[in-house]
Amino acid sequence: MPAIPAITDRLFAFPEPHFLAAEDLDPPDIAALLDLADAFYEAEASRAPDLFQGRAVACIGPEAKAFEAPARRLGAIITDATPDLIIINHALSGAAMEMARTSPCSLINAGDGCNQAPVQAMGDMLALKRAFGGIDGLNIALLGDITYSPQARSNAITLSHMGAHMRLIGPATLIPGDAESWGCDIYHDLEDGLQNVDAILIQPVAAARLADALIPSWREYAHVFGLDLTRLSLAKPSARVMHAGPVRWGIELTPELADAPASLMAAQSQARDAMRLSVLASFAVRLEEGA
Amino acid sequence: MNLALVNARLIDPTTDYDGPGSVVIGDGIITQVIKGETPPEGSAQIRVIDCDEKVLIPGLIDLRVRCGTDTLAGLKDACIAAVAGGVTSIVIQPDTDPIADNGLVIEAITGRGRDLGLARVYVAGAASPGLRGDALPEIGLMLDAGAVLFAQGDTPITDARLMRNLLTYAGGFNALVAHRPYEPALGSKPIVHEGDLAMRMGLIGIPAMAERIGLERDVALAELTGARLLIDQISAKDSLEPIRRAKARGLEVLASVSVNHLVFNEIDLSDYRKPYLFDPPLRTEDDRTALCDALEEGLIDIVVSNHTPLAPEDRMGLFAEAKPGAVGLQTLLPALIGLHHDRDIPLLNLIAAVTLNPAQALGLPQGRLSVGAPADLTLIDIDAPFALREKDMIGKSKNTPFENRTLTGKVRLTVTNGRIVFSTPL
Repeated sequence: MPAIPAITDRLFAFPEPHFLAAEDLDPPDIAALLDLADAFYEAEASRAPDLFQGRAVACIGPEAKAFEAPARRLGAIITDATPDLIIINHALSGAAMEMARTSPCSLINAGDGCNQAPVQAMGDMLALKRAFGGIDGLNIALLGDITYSPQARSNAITLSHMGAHMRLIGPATLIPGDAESWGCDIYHDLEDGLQNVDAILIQPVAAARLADALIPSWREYAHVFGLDLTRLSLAKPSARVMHAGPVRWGIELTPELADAPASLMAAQSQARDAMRLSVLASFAVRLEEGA
Repeated sequence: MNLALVNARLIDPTTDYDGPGSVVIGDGIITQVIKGETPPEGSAQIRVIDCDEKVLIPGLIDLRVRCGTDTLAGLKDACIAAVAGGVTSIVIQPDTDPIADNGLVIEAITGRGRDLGLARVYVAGAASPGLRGDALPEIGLMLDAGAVLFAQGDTPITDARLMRNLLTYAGGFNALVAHRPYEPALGSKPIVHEGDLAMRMGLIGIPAMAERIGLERDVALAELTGARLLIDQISAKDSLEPIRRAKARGLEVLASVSVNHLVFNEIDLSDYRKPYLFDPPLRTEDDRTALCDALEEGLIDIVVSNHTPLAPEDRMGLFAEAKPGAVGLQTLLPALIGLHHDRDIPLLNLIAAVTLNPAQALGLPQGRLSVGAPADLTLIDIDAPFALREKDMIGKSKNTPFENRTLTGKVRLTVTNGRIVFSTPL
């Protein structure tokens, strides 16, 4: 089945040799990526173009596995041997950039330690753009563990790049002391932080934060920072809720929110898939042009 | 009941006023403060009390009170002793039984305090679960249960990383953390000051530097985190310089001292006298006078009684095995008045350290003679001498260093929430 024109018309070569961090993209590149991802979001799975034409893609690390299926859909062979493109997820901050320095091929960062996860963040932006029509002027709150979340950092940078007003909400132990320099407002009181908010992106709190004495207990976390319908009512009536996953139900947010009209979580998952396809496609075009 | 306290000498640290005046109260709040000799407008509805030019001050706020091992029974003794001593607000330390590290215990203690209706009872939540110093406390839950600050009792948090996390986490709630500055590795028992006297008594002692080492770390972490820190109960002259530096740098750092360390020194415990065992220990006369000067200067913000009732069995046995601490709610105000008489420290400075300053530290509306403030008041005859005898001591625990000493300053009237809760004939 031929690829639909909406995708082929919007294809472009990724502007940088690697996609390591949110800062790698200028607003026009972000817009182009969102447009392409929008087309993938609408298209049926079987109608992805064969852009890789049998080129080798390596997916290294747990989070990188999510790129295997979309890469295959675009015609890639998944192998670690002499790859043409590497998707890397690593537990240590800076790993992606350090590897890129000596890598013979392009590299996409699927999350390095507490540093960045730009593709996931672009996926979240796609879900927001589809829900709100645009990003400019939205009040967006990142709620939860900001310090140790690579996605939160990428979310904050990409979204404010596109004109969103960003705020970070969470325990003082989980928000970097210098986060204000990102241009974000900081709240340690959830109810204050939710006022006038359009969207809430919950950032997961790992069990290690409890073991490291950065939060006292799950019941306290739920009491102070857990999102429920009552607290959500403090945000704008049209406010939507997303979660960077995996969800700690009943602590980070109440199960009632899963199916609530405010939930954008199903669309978020689909948008992330579409964004992976879009980023991979733009690197396939770059490979093709370089070949 | 509406009440007019007329013909008094008012001391109000909010406005630095020390002069004649009257205070009218109704519905539990101060409705009129008249500075000057004009009496308030008469009204048949108002009960008028002639204060006979005695000193009328805001009721005292004591930030460091324990109520013994039987917490709720001890609380009653503490409240009765408090109002007899002119103290109208007390903050119970978290080393209760069970430990006040959760909302239920805090609500039980404050609820019991409300039922007693004598002094206002607040609780300092534990700064770590079980006061073990190994994890973060549930500050959000405890604040909602009414905790007014977070304290660690007498066992400091030794782990600098945990202390940093505690200050950072508390800072997110704008909560006050009280911490005893102390390096426990330099400690020893019994708790006496390391120096000439201890050496001559055959005791090892704890150096003043143990306090400064802890203090320098805590102040550095307060600077790192920007949190509000109460340096709880300093005892040594050497501790004053780091506090001065911290305040000059604009850190939100407060310091407290126990009244015992302003009145007594290590000489008092020579001959192995157990009532003078305190934690931190009484230090030299040079330390004591430096602490008094620092209080007068305002470098030390808050004076506490560190009221610590001991069971009779804790007072028996040998000096080297005895528990430190003394009751102090009844003697806090007379001891401060004594410092005014002996060292000429202005009453305004002394009174601020037990009223306005602790109120501001905790964000409480009392502790001031202002219209609209809660009607918590104490009337004291600052020139009346009395000898403290064991039979005059309220409560089961009689461990006081003031026994058989002459004190000056008798509490005549104590008003909490507009109600007379203690009075002796004028």
